[in-house]
Amino acid sequence: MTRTDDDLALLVALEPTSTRSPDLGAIRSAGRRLERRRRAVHGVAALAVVGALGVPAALVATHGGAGVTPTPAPAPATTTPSVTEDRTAPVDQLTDAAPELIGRGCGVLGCPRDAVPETGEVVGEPWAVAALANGTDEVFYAVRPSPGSEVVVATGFVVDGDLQRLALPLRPGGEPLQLVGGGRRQGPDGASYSIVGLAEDATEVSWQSQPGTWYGTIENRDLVPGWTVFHVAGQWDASWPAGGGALVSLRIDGEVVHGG
Amino acid sequence: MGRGDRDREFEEFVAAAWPRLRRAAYLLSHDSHEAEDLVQSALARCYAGWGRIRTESAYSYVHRALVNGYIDSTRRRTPIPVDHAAHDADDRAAGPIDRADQRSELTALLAPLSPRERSIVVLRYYLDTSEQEVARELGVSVGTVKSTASRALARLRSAHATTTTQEHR
Repeated sequence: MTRTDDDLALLVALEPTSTRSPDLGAIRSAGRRLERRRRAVHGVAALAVVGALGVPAALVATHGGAGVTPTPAPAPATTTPSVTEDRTAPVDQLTDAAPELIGRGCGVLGCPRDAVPETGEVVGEPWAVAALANGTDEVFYAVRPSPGSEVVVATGFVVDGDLQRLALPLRPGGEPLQLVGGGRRQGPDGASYSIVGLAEDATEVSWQSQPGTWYGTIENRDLVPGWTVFHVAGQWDASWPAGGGALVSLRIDGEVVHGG
Repeated sequence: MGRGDRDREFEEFVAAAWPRLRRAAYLLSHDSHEAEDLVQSALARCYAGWGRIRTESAYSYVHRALVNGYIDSTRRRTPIPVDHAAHDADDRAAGPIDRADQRSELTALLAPLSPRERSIVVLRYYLDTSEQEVARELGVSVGTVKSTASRALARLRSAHATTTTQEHR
């Protein structure tokens, strides 16, 4: 024990505890509502639709399931992205696991050449998820595409300080769980996949592509209050059907909602 | 497990966890009503997943849900500077729910800290979570957990020293 530990332990020992009683009825009632909503999420996940990602997008397949055939991958360019915020750690055991980097000149989610200047009203700050070697940041951001429209979550790039939109894949206020992507992308360093997702009011989103350890997704709860934006990327498993989606399972707050 | 057994088991857990959990919520938020919301919401999540959250992991689950809920709540509102005089005035005018939450040395220690720093101290010391687990839950290094606690205590000592000096004048 350090002096800090001792001093704080003393303060904790002196701290009073609450004497009020919990409202068990309200807790159970809220818990049951949450249960019903999670069951709805489970159903939605099985029916997840392909979004408008500007990159090859396929329905994320379940283990043993089949995904939608992706469109051909765009040819990669010449730089390699690096993940700038790595929260991909096993949920049950911390290691230094990092997602495999993919492609050259393109980011984890797509390629700058497919992006167009953002003309909507950007809400808050973009969230950088990867940095390309040429200084371009790959980002998620919240935007109103047109005046008065609902806020949606976009993917894009910050090129020389200018925000470029790649796609508008996720819609807060829509389905409680949205998954987009998962198709095979061929790059010079091998095949890969990426999935972006949005989950309402999620405390923990984790994933696995092999049975065993669950990994926390790279996620952000700041872009849209009440919603968790997350993404998963990795090397394509050669045993997966080339025409289908990545065989990835997702877990939200401890409950498998996709795959299994 | 039937609904009745499940409810009984959950009620026993809530009865055991509630006093400390409710106080932890107050230490985080410094607001009685928000603390009530935070702890009810964390427990509701726990109840929703009770079938898979075994009792032994329920504490860790509910602590994580509480702290995440608190950090999320701070992101959704405009920060308001802590003003003890204003708080005290509010307390005098408030109802019974507020009077049950008493300020303490630990509350004062946590007041100037950022939401993340508060979460680190509350998780580590009040909810007795290991440094490694705190680091993992909050996405920070173990070093950050240690240095945050040290900084918080240094502030408290500094505040004590100032108070003592003023009393001696």
